[in-house]
Amino acid sequence: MIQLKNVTCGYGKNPVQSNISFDINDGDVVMITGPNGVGKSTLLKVLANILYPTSGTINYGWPDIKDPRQLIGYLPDSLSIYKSMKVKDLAALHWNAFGVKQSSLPLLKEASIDWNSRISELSVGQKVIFHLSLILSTGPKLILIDEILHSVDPHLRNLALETLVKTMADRKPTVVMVNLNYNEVEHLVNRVIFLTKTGILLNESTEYLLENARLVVADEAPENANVVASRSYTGRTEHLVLPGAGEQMKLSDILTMLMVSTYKLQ
Amino acid sequence: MLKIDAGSAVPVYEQLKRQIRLGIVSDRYPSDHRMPSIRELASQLKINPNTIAKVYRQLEGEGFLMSKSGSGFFVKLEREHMGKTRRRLLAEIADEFISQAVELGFTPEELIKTLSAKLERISANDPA
Amino acid sequence: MWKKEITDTLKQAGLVFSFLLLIPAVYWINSMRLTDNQHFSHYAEAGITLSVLMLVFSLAYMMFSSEDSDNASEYLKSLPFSKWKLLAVKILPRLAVAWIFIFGYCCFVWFPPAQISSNNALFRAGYILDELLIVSVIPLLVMLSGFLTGISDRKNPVLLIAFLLLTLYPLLPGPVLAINLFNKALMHQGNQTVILISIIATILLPSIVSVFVLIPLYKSWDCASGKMRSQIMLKRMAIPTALVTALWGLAFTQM
Repeated sequence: MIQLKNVTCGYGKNPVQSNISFDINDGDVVMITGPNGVGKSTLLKVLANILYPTSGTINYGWPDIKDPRQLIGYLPDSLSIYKSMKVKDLAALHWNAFGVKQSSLPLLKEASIDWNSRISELSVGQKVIFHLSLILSTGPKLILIDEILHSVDPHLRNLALETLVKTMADRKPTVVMVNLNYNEVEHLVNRVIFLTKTGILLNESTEYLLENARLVVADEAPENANVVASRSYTGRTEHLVLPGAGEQMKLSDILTMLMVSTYKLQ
Repeated sequence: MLKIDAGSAVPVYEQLKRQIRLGIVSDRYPSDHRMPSIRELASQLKINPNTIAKVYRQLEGEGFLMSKSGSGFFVKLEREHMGKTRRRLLAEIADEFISQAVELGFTPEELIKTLSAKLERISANDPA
Repeated sequence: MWKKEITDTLKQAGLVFSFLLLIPAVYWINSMRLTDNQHFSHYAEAGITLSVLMLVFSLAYMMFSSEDSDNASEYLKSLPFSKWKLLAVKILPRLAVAWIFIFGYCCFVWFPPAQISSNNALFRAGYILDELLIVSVIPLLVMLSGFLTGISDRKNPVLLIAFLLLTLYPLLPGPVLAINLFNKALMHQGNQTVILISIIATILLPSIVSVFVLIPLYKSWDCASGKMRSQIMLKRMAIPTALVTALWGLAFTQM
């Protein structure tokens, strides 16, 4: 289990998130979502052990490992990689750093990536596929993927997700994704953490959300029900109750309503 | 080809179970047919492998599939089972038909009249 | 990572030495302009001296240039290198190249022991030892400084000046103060070993201590703002740098 206790983190003087605590069970597939700029990527960097919290602790539950990064595969949202290097040289550097003996990345062929080309010559989508397959090739127990797939074309995006799911089936790693495209991943995740500027708004399993979140269409918010979010269009007002009675909702709709209501509050 | 209806509020695992049951009963998946591996199906549909595993395990419990360790899940066909399942599926289809028709405001008599007329036309076109 | 760093180092060294190509050009221009132009060997010597100096400082300054230009800092931090391995892989190739060229320079261009004017055996020993230490320690200090600026803020002029003052101290003010100390010690007839040691200490210690004071800062190196880290670094360096600057001043008054 990965445990964050009272973590405060940021890049400079002002913290981005304060006093965040949550647990992630091994094998969970977690989505961290929320409005732009609240600190989702920051939190992911803390999980990746590349940004140290200014206070609080993070425990990965790996007592035998000295450096947690050894078992972490992190895909940043900034295409951070040595772009002037050749694909094969960077792969060699990466495998050497992680102490794994690999010699090829089978996925590269499907993405038309030439082993001898420079990374700067690849398209954005190819860079992402390359980086993703690289981090998966070291057998990480924790896979962290920041919101990067939005800039990738549909074919490569499909390839990336397929690769991720195959890895999930093979090795049952813990996966944490920062994601804003709910439709794409709503059937992959089993837990959602909704982050806002002031902290964690929601931290529930998808099973709980699907079984208990309900949609109520009414002009007035229903009494005696926990209304989590509301939104109105022309002639129609909707409320999200959790728990409560009403229409069943898809996960992406639940999250979209939360997002809308968060923007209203800000 | 298994598909997920993204717009439906029916849980994904339930949708898959229904489709597989339907496929088995309508002989699309014949006896001893090897179901796609959990890995294959999960990556194709972009669904958590645990969900696929749950689907297969539940279908195995219900008697539709059989797992051979190391080789995957295979279709198991039992005659009386087939009959029961076919009847259950018919009941589900009927439920959906009836509930939609009722929503549109039709009475039971109108439903029966429409159904009989349609069935007559079908048997007229297909003497077998 | 060794392969990448060695390749980068050689490329950067090559870039610096490409400036040597300017020597014949400058010589040729000057021989057109001046009637009593100096011999080519003077130009060569000046050019090579300058290049070797530039080499040491450029290699240090460009230590993290690939991370900066490729935006690869986050990637580097995600690799499970121990802090010491990272320090070694960045500094050792550059230090080795710097030492090789300085050694070659001392052998073929400017031989320190030949510059000694005094006949005092102790003085000669001390002088040679001092020169040896300077040429081996200064590059190390420069590389460490390059590393520390690389992980904080390469563009902060105050930080760069502070490091310059610290790393060049053993080159100029250090020996000046040491020679005066030596002469004073001679008058008091102290123990020769003690004199030698204290002289070497005068030359080297201020810089070594100042730079090493900053090493603990390395432990907290993460993806957070480099500018903030450079501020913390400057705060820690304030007192040692002030002291060393005072010694610079003292040396100038004694020159």
